[in-house]
Amino acid sequence: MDIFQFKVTQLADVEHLEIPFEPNIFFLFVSPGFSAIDAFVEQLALTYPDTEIVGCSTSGEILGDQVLDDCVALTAIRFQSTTKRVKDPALEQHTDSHAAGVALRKEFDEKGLRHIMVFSDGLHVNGAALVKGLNEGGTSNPSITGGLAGDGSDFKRTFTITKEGVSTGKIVALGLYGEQLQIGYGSKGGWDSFGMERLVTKSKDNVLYELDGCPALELYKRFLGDKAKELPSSGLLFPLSLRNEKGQAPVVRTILSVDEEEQSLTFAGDVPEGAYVRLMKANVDRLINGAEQSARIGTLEDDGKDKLAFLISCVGRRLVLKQLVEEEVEAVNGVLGETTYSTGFYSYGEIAPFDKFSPCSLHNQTMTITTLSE
Amino acid sequence: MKYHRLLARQLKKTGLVDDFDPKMLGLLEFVNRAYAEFDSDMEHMENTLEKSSQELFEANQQLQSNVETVSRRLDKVAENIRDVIFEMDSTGQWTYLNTAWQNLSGCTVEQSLGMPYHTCLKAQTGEPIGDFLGLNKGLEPLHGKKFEITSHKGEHKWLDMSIKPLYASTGKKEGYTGTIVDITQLKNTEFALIAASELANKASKAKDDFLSTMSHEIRTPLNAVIGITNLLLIENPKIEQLENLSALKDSSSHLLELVNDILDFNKIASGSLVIEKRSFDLKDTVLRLQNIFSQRVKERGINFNLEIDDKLPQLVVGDSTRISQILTNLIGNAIKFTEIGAVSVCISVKQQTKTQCSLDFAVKDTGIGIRKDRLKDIFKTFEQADPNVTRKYGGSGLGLAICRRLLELMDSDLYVDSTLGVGSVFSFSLNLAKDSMKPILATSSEIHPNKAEVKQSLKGKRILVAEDNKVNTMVIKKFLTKWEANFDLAENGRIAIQRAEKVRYDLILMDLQMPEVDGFQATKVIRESNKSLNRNIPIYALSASTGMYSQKDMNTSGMDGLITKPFNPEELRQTLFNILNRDTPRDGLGQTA
Repeated sequence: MDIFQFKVTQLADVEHLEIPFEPNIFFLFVSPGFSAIDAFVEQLALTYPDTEIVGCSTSGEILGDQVLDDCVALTAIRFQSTTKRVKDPALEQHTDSHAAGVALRKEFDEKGLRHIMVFSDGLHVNGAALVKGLNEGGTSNPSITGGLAGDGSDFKRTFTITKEGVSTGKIVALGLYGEQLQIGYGSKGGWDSFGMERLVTKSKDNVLYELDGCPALELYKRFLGDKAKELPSSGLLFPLSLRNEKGQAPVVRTILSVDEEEQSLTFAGDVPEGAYVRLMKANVDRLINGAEQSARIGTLEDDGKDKLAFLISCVGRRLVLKQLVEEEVEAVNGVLGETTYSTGFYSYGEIAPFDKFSPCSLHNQTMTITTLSE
Repeated sequence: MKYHRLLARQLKKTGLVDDFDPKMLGLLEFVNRAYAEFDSDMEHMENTLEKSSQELFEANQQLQSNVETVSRRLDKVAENIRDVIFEMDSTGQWTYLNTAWQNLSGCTVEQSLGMPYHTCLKAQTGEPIGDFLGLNKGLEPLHGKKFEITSHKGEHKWLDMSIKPLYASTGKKEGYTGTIVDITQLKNTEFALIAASELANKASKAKDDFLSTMSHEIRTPLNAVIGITNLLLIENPKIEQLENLSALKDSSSHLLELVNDILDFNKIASGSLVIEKRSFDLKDTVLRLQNIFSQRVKERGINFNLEIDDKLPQLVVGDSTRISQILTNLIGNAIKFTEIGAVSVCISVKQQTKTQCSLDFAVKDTGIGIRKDRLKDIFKTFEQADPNVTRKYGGSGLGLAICRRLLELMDSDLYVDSTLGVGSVFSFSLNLAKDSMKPILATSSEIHPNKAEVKQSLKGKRILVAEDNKVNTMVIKKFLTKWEANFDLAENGRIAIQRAEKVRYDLILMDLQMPEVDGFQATKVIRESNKSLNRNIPIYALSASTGMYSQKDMNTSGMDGLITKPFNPEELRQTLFNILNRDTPRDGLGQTA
């Protein structure tokens, strides 16, 4: 596998890309502040008509050890033998995110399908339902990883990218085929729950109305204090730890949007009635340790060949880490080793299996790592 | 640029002034932002801490209030309950009591707490009741105790104390909890019930005894009637008398059968029937049955087939009397309901080991058969397949029920298969132990030479008959005279013993119930006396009481067997002949019908 990476800061950079091979795929992780993205993608597609382009908007681009803003993190790769297919259905064509997931999965030829990389619009989707649909739609058992697009911490407009251009409300999926392809993945958080356990007394799918009979938004505002003004982004400081039954491993859910009128909160995944939730907190050390642990699980054996790692980390972590955000990226790269190129982004949700034995699911507040090698 | 106040203070203290180069400015910008963010995070944390504390405080208050509500409710329940609820420590000192305690013991709860549990209780005698649970002796009260006290008002009470140990989470025993319930009324009811049940048992026993005695008492005159009828029948009656005598004989036989069945059934129902386990020759037993029924079969003009498996062990262990009784009943029925064809008795060995054998018995007939829908009813007491049957064929309707109960006592059951107009098969299985001892007996064919056609002679045989009943004596006297036997009569056991000291007999027939000395005692004396000339000759009991005496009674006294009254003249003669013509003088054999 050949890998080439470039930090694009302006439209003109497209003319100066000196890629030493004919790439199969461009991965573009784009800051919402990079206004020339439409023109950039158009030019890139013109220049490399046979190359697929996949990518999305971010809450921070990761390229190597750097966490960037206002640029495009570009990675070009050429596979030796792995083949690929790209699909990008619009969410609105389907009744719901689950149906979209099922339909998207059915578009792929199952034969030889090894891995699906998914980047979805980050705001108009129920990520958990989408992932469930992706799992259920097929007959084979490929690994599925990816993330939901971000837009800083504005929660206003996210987009996905193919060589057709930039669009909102879509899912981009890259299917990878071939015996040579090696895939590693890991997903860990580092957050702890605290305080009272609260019962979800009113909710519908991923919209939460009441906890212990009180409006959920009111509770959030109380705990956020002054930061309540910054909702929904400040909601990232209080993810929910959610468990359905005693003994089951809890999942983490973060807020995507709030509705003042309904006093409701919309999460990236389902929050079923009868489930128990607790607020969560984090500190810098625990988050960095979590990222490192994730890398240990997701790393591939070092055979001297170049590898590509996608680091998809939650925007909530960035809000906690602040100026120390690169520390978690460096910690990950330290584990993955020098032969691994990394790219990725800060997201509104991460997609990966919990471990080797579970189906893929939606996570929040994790560092999710996917490593590819041939 | 306005910096964070801490940064501004630090710059001022260090004397650094505004005039920074751009790199320094960049650094200051980062530091400034970090300070601001730190403040914001701190504020966030403080807010979180405050809200969490507040929530915990509220939750705690809510919990406290819940605890109070629940404990008030529990108190109300405990105070209004009639039974005593208690807790005590491991040494038996009260740690909790509800107000019911005061009503029971006369001591207030306040007085009693901290005192040993038995302090306020008095035994029936009025003395302190003491440590009846034995806690001071280190005993562990497992289930509690029922005990009697005299209450503080002087009433006698029964109390039921249930008790359960309480353990701390470490597993250490902390004490006990439990209840004390006043069960005086319950106890009184229980005593009344026991008394009533004893009365009922007595009544039931009296009824059983009455039934037994009645049946027994009826049998003695009945035997006389049958005996005399038989006598009249053999004394060349006139043709017109013959019909009446036959009817008299049939009716009295039927009546006897009924009485016997009722006696047996009563015995089984009262549970006093014990199945014996003794070694016996099954083949021989069946051959005897064949012999007994040979006359009746001949009279009806049907065949009697006996199919005995060659593999049948010679000696088995079981109750020969009861097995005979079952077979007799089944064969009797089969003959009764068969007008043409044959009655067959089949005994086959299903499987056998060194010590055990499993035998299948079947009694088949080609008789009238039973309707399928009536099959299930025939084992019921006093039921027959068809009410008309009773009228036509007689019988008590108890026979099959008795057979079935007897088989149940032997861990088996009775089965029937029948086709109306074709015939019936009654079958059962028995698991019997095998006896490997060589039989001392001569083979059965020698005992029962099948010479039914030839009249066996008793001429010149010396027979002593001990019998107190005058009619019976008369009957047997007539028979023996007719058969030309040389016989003496004894009115009771004592006279029989005296005779046996003087004369040597070929056979002694001994009634069991006689005045002065009964049959068992007399036999014992004859067998054991030095003066006796008849220590080794056959002595047979004469009795109307089938099943009343066990094989054990027979053997202890030295009886060789039992001949049941009333006598069928032909059968009696056959039996006597067989006994007298046996090679071995004594055989210890089972009873002869």
